[in-house]
Amino acid sequence: MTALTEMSLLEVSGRVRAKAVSPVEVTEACLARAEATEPKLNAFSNLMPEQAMAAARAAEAEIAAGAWRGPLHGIPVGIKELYDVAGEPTTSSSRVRANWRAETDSASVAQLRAAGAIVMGKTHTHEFAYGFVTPESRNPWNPDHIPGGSSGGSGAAVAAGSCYVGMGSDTGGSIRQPAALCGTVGLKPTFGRCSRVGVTSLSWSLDHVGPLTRTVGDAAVTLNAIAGHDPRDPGSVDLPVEDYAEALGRDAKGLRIGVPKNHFFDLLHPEVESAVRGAVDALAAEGAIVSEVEIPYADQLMAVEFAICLPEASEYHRRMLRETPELYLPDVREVLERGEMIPATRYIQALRLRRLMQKGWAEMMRDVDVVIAPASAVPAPKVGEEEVDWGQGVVEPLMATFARITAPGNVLGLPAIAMPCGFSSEGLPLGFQAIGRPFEEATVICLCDAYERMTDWSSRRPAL
Amino acid sequence: MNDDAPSLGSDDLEPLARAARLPLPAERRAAVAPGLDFTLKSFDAMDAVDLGETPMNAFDPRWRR
Repeated sequence: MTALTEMSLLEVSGRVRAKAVSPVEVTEACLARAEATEPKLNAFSNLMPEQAMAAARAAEAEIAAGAWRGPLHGIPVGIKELYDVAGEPTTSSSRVRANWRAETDSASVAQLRAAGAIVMGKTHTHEFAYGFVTPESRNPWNPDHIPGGSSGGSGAAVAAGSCYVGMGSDTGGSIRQPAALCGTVGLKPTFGRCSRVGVTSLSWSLDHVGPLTRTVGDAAVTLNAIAGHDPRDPGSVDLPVEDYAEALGRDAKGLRIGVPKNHFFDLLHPEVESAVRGAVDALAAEGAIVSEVEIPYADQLMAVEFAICLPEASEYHRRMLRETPELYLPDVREVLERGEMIPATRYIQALRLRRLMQKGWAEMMRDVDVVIAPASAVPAPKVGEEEVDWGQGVVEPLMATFARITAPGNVLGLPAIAMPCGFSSEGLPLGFQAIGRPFEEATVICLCDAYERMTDWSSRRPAL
Repeated sequence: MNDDAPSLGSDDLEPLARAARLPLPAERRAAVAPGLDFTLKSFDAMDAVDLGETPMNAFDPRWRR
């Protein structure tokens, strides 16, 4: 019999609803799994066993009384250290915020609790989400490798089976990249689809919140819980919310896939390229219509991402950087100091260029429903690696290797799902991302769910 | 990346940091200069696009909570 911690959220939820298993048993299993794997992974910054068990007992009583709230009821979730959880520290995995304690839940945590989810702990991030590594945590597929970041703790915890959802945030790829490196699904909704209230900001113009899960269906039902307008978030958009679970169980026939002929496939690990193109071929064999697309303003994408992110991040940290600079990690302090010296005209130039890019992508996606691209150019690097040597004298900083693949989704604010599409010869996960039109999450979910049902990648578990 | 652009050295950061009201001693200027130089050169890629009359984001005057 499959262990509870190896199942997907929807599998466990079905058993909870049928009263074949109780939220108390599920939560105990997750806590035991975390206890067993944390010495290797250090995915959690703050496990909350007492609060989790109290919530599990309450959920058990509610469900026993016939008040099942939905698929998240009684399901343990991990919350990125960036999110406020009432009564708990929000350290952002930084000594700068060591004494910062949240008085109220962030919007997403409140929504998850309202849906019946059990907050079992908080997961590590790269300090203030400003990086792609998550130095404290390790990759469940091989602890000598990074889990990615900045939502690396959530990726590691979900892949390890310690929780069914790990909430993440994505400013340049920080949901999709750790999902790709840890072999999980990572859903970055459209900018404005989910409230960011109570989540420590990296860059207001680029930040998104969303879940990392084991399957596309798990991500869809989580999105159902957290999507919606929140007037407290200036980026929030007031548009109707669909039932994303309705996009599940369909096939990919007739969906139009665009495969970029520039930018995304320019510099890739050969096993990544092979796996992503293999996924496109599999979808085409099921009736998807594939064509090539040209990414507009590709040469400006990285400049726009960083010309927006750096000054906004440095402004957020302005006071802290002057009061306690020595408490930051060296890489984060350096990039915050760098951001102080970006001319304001460059920032505004990037904002104007972003509008042109938006028009260009709208034109490009007129004839395709989704764009499929790699979710990471490389499998998970080893701990301590800072560059990628592509040969023939081309050496790339790791941050650039990751950002050039995922940051377009942030610059354009488009919905995107990263999902497993194979393993490297070293046994490390490989992933693609499917990028959709604004607020068309359902189309992306439909395509990724169809692909997931053709393969067994999402059902594989690391041997920890 | 614009390799023809003049490079910034750590001494160049002294007036920039002063303008930003950021205390940045010599060892920090040395640590930050290579990254800042790389970043600013990468931003030169934006100059290849004629933005014409493209406006920046609009301010929304509606009152919200």
